[in-house]
Amino acid sequence: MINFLLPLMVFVPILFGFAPLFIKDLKKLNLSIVALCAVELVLCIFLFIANHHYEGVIVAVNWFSGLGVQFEINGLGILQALATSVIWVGSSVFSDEYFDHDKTYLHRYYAFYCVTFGATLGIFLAYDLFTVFVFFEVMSFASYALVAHNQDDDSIAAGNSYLTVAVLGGLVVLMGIFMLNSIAGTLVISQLQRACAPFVGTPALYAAGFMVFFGFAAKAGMFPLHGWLPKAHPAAPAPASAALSGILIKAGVYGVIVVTLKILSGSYEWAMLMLMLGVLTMFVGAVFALMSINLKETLAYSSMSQIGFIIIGVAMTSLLGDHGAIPAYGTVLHMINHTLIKLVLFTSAGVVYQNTHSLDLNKVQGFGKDKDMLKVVFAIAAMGIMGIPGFNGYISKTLLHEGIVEYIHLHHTGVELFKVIEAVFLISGGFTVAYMTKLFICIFVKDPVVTHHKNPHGYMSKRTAMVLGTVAAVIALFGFFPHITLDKIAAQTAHFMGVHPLDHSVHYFNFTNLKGGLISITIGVILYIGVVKNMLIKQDRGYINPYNKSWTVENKIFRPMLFTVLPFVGGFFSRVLDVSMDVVVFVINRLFCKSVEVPDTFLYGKPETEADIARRNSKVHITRSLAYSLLLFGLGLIVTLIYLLVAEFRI
Amino acid sequence: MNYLILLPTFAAFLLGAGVVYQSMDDIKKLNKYAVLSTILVSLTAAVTLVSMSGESVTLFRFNDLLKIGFKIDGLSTVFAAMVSFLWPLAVIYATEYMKHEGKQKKFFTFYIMTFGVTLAIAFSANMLTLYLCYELLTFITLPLVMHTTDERSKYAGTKYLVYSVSGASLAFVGMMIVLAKGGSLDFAYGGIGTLGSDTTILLAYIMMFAGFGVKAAIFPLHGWLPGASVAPTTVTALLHAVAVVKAGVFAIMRATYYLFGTQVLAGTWAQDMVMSIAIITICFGSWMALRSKHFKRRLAYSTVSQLSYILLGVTIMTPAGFAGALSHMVFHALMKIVLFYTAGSVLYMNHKEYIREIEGYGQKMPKTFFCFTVCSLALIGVPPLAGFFSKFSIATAAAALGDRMGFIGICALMFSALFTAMYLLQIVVLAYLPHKDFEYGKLIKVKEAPKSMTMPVVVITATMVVLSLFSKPLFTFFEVVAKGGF
Repeated sequence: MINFLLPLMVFVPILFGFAPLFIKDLKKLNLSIVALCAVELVLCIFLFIANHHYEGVIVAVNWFSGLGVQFEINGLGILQALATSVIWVGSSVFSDEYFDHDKTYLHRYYAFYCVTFGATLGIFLAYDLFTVFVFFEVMSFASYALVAHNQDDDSIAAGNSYLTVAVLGGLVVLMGIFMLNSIAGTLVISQLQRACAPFVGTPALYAAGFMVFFGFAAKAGMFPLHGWLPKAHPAAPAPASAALSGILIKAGVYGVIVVTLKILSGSYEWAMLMLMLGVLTMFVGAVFALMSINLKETLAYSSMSQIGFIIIGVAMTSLLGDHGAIPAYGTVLHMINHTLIKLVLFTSAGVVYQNTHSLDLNKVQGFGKDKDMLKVVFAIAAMGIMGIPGFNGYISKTLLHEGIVEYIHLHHTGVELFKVIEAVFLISGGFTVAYMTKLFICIFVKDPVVTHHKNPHGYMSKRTAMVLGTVAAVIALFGFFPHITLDKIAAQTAHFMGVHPLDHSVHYFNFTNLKGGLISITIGVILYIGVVKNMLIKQDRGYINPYNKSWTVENKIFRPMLFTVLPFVGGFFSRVLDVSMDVVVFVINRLFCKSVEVPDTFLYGKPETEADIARRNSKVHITRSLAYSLLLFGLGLIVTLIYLLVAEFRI
Repeated sequence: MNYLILLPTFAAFLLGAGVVYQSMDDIKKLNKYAVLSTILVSLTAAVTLVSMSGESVTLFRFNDLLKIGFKIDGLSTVFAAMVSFLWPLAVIYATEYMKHEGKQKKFFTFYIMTFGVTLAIAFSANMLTLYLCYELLTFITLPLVMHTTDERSKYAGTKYLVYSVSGASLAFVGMMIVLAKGGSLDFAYGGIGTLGSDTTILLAYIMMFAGFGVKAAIFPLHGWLPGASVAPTTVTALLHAVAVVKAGVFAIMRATYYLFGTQVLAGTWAQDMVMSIAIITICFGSWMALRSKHFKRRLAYSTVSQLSYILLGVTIMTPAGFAGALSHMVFHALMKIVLFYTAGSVLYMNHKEYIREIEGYGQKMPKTFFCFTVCSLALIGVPPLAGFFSKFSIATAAAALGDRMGFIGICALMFSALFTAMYLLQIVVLAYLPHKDFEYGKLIKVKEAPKSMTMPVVVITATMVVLSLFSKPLFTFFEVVAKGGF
């Protein structure tokens, strides 16, 4: 059964991308997409629960394309596939409402929305890196249409960045895959660890690993390749941002996990590099999130920062080896928790946007003051991401924090760096608290400065409210009963993450663990009062962003390099080379055939003047005519033929 | 009975000559005649390919060494099948397009005759025959390049003639050296077997590569190709993306695998040299494409670059590389012809030649630009479309080579893929996503091309997609051909 199920799960949504051509009624279309996503969700839940039955069953679809694709279920992959389905159910329900006011190009949107869904599932269900790559590319290109959907200046610019990153990243990954295949001889994810083990530490494997990493890291929004992320999220429609932030960047993280734990497992240097990049991503994202005054941009930077937390977990898992269960669980759970939380937050942002048509904090201020339902779900999700005890984010952050602490305990010397990292971790947690508090207070506590137009049909539909309520309930449930929910989920992925499952349960709510959370919260409160209230809110101008947006790594380094320097230098040389042969012909003509006047036709001919034509026509140039050349050529051939025949007769 | 191998060629000549007897007053009848006769030739070719596979015939014998002979083997089948599929569709497109260029009688005469010559190239059994047909192809396509007979097209035609003929003479010298040293010109998989790897032989190979490489537009002998984009788009699309340029590639394949043989060439400086030529051309072509603002010229430079992908596969000199080259030859033909036809439709319907002028056209010419987008993605190499798999197999073969050149080759492929993405996606994005304040009112006069122009485009795109998704049998076939097993 699984032999049919996995390919169907991936290909049906991709084929469903053609449905908008046939189903013109948008309500019906939306309903059928929701139904499709729901079916996928049910299947994913079933496969996740039963995944140990199916692990090791390889489903090859050889007829597909030249090389075929292969699927297999692994613990982390199926969990991510499950999360994907959740996001897609949620955001497709919301899509119907969100696009109510602007239905232009909606069929196109739904088409690419379905293709992206199928391709993302393909990534997580893939058996080898080749299949991952195939679907990764499909996903990148399909989601471009989602990012650029609005077609205004912002979204076109964001789309261009996104597309560049997708193309560049894809190519570099492909290059890495070639190298990896020639070094290790396999691309099968579950065999990579063993196949690569003899080569860990060799420059070639580092190069291959780095290339594969590069493409996935760009998609994950890791520093310094994050440039596209804060542009794409605000520019995309809210349901698409939820998908981008919730899942697409997780596909990047999935790739980083494969590189770190499968290809370069056990490499101390690589793990340290990941750790450093993780810390930078986490901190930089948090700082920018605090400064931003755009609702979705804040959430986007927040996503980047949370990716940093996850990458730190990956690095710690690699550093701790077999005993890395705690950070491994933390990594997996933070991925899941972040997905759920971002679904709620971005959908809420979408609700805000469709009522106010703005994302500027100064304009949406006070929008939610009298909207209890939205207030509650937003608060729950915010507290989740802040890591408040009793919500899911607290559990995963505690595990990640414990991972660092455990490493410090195990290695008594030379751990000063890790102590610094622990401090940065807690401070970044504080930033999370501060910027989420800022958002919450701005939207739900303060008085409105602009009168918001009241929608007679209510500010959000029942269906959206139901989705938001359910997910928020799950967030709280996971946080309250971690042992029977999150622990069980994480244990399923232990095998994939290459760690021994935990034999004891972590006491999340004892003093030591609560202490970490409390430190972060305290820092957050201090930051909010000290920085946000005093420096980022001005009496006269409201919320301000002190950061000059044109100063980004992308604008100052990557863009000029890619779009100005490279094409110019290359174009110059190419142009010179392009005419090189013409120049040779010209010089030869000048040297040997003085009578031929070349310059007027040299270089894609300037049009001849009347005088030229008259002069040319006045004399008959038999020797310059085509027929004459042909005649000479024919003569040459005849002479050659005679020579050959004579030579032949002599023999 | 084996003389029947030549039936499609002679049918094309006869039917092509028959165009002369049609009247220009009744264009519809002329068009009908052209379409039907091309379909007839295609069908004849198909029947010949199926029923006479492996047969051979010697038409004319100068002596034991020099003879004119034809045979059908795996490589001929691939090449002949490819052109036979595309030619009738190209003629259908031309019936509409040529209304705008005029002089249909002259055009269709040569257009149909060229089909016959191309088939003769595909069926050539030895180098002499191939060489003669190759020269014939140059001359018979010349009136097509110079169709408009203004100064620009005359200049382009002259340039084409000079480049091709001097290239062919270079190949001729190489051929004579092979004849003197090896004593045979007959094609046999793995080479004629009497050649050693000495410098003269390698030099002869380089000469032949460079000579036939003129049609395959290798750097620095590519100059005629972008210039020739002044010809009507029907010519540029079919001849300068498929038939003529691929005849050059085909001749190089014949020389490499069937005349010299890979045992003689592999691992020598000659291989390094031809590989580096291919690599330089790949990068150079895509760079020039990116900086061209003229729609057709951009596509012409793209062809320069893509043809060298095929040559890179050929010069890897392993069966795997050859198989990759074959698949890229076929798939590039399908994709590039659609890209050119898009440029042609835009030019025909709306008289726009430059890329910046097509802003917003995606809405107005939905069928054409949808096909353009699909084929662009395929050419960039987005999986699961065909371009990805053919490039992938070339790169895998290069990686299997395991030396420096192989690695540089892969780098060049990646680099060029990036540029391909940049120069094609720029067009797609411009056509589909104009800025929000763009006035669609400006495009009120822009119309979708008529059915006889969209039909070939849609059919070719659909074929390409279906072949990509179910390409396993095709790939297996290419592998068999590349191992000389057919």
